[in-house]
Amino acid sequence: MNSLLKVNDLKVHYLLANSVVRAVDGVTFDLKENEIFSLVGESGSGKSTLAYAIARLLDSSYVRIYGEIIFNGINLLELSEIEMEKIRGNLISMIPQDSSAALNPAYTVGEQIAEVLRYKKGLSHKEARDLSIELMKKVGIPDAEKRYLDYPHQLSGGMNQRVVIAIAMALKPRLIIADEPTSALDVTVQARILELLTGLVKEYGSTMLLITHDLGVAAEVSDRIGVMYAGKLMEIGSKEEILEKPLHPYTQALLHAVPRFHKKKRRLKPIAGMVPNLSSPPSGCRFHPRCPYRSKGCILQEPLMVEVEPGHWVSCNLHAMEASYHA
Amino acid sequence: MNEVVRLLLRHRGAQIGLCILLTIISMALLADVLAPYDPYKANLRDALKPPSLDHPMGTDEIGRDILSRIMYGARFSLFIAFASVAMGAIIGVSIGLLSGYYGGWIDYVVQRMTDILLALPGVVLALALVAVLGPGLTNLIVAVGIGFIPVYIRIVRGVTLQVKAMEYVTAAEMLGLSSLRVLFKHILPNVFPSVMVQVTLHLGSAVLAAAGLGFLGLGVQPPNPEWGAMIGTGRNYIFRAPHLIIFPGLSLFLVVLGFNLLGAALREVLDPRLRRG
Repeated sequence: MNSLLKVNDLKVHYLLANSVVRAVDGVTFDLKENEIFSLVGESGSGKSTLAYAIARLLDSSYVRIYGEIIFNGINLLELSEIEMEKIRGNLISMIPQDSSAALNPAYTVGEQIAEVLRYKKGLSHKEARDLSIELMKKVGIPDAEKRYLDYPHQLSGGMNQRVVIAIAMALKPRLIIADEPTSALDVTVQARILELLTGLVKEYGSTMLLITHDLGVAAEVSDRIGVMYAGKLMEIGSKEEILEKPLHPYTQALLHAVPRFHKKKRRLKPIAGMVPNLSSPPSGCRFHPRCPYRSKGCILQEPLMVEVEPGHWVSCNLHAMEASYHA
Repeated sequence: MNEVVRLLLRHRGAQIGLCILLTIISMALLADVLAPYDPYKANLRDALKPPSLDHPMGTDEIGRDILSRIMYGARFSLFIAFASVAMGAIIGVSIGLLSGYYGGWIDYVVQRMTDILLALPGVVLALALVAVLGPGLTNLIVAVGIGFIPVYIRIVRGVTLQVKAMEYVTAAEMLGLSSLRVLFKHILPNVFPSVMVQVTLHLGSAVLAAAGLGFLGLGVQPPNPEWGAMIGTGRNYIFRAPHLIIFPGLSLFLVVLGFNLLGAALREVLDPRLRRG
């Protein structure tokens, strides 16, 4: 399968008054066409920053981005703002975290869907209106003709999320970045929204980068999962590999911290310690202060990302040996 | 928006302010029909007559009917007020939006220039400008309007900074809308409420500033019946015929009161924290 997006040694640094926060620090991964890839991590692990960096939506006055983001063969970091505007919406679009905040309170939801169609696709008022209503029906909004005239504050969070999905999918983009698309919703609504989203992604032949802190969500929809910690990718693998055979101690700890219904009763294990301050990250392996298996080497030397099995990458000194055997 | 209008109509201050303003605006619009006399026609035999049934507000030093002059004068005051505030608001809001949205050195330069303009009191600035540009209606509007620009720049820049941080602005940028479109279609409507309050309050100060310049002989020139100019010429007769300045003064007071009541009410209605149950 071809890669739609390749992120190469990406670094995103926030320049603060007297420190530099390395929110993303050397991340490499790729998205294959038509797949759903989840980036999982705690809050503060840099996953949202990574998403906004791909869309080039970070304020360049205090953010520095290094590395490469190759989308469809083009390095997005080399494009001008005008060229980037053409890619956003048409080819890459984003579903933000809090849909009720992501809709402009000054316009009806219908107008906001129609705006994209008119402005980016050049449709007339009427065409855009008709297509918007069709899209609203497609994302499961009942009484679409009436809801078209509603303002965001008149709709529920779930309905607003459907509107946001309709806007993001309106131009059938190749890549959808969904930043915690269900975190602001009730658990009951979550499942339906996820189903809708993945259904549309499959139907339109798009690729989705799903950002989530919820391993359950990632387990439900993704083909592959990347685990992020403190600005670095710790492990990448297929969903089965990550969930059934996690290699990195952090992934294992994360899985132990999630309740499961079908497994026999056991205590949840919280991960000891805190996410490190990224303006002065720990030496060596970022996870070493919290890692039960740490050795001297972990403090001194940063592990490399190695391919343990085909497609299953891990960045941990425990598995560095194993991989060199493999090679 | 309908919500705002509804709350406004139930607000006591707004009701009083609107009543005053509607009366004066209709007086200005219907002056041709309502005014009992020609506001320019002198009648020396009837000069300096105190209020009577024939002349409800009396006559001035060359026998012109003061009521008629006040009715026509409302046109000057209101026109100058609306035109100068419109000018100040349009320029100030645009600069404020750009300054807040783009930030960086543009913002820095704009804000330092705003500091300079804000350091000068509005009337002094207007006075200096009229002195340079010379009297006349257009110059008066420009002179009064320029003083308002920095106020709008400040307000709009602040609100723009807030609105810019909203997720719906990032969402609009994510859709690949151009930055000008984001600025004027997505940020401007949400900046509007704060601007509306200031516009109403400024209308009152504009009426006052224009009258002040008229009083000093730098605004609308006699024989035009502008209220400030009327007070200016009437002050020579302040002891013999005080009605020459009482009635234009009262009109000024009412207009400014009307705008201020409306502005204060608007601020209360638009800011939920100030809303009383």
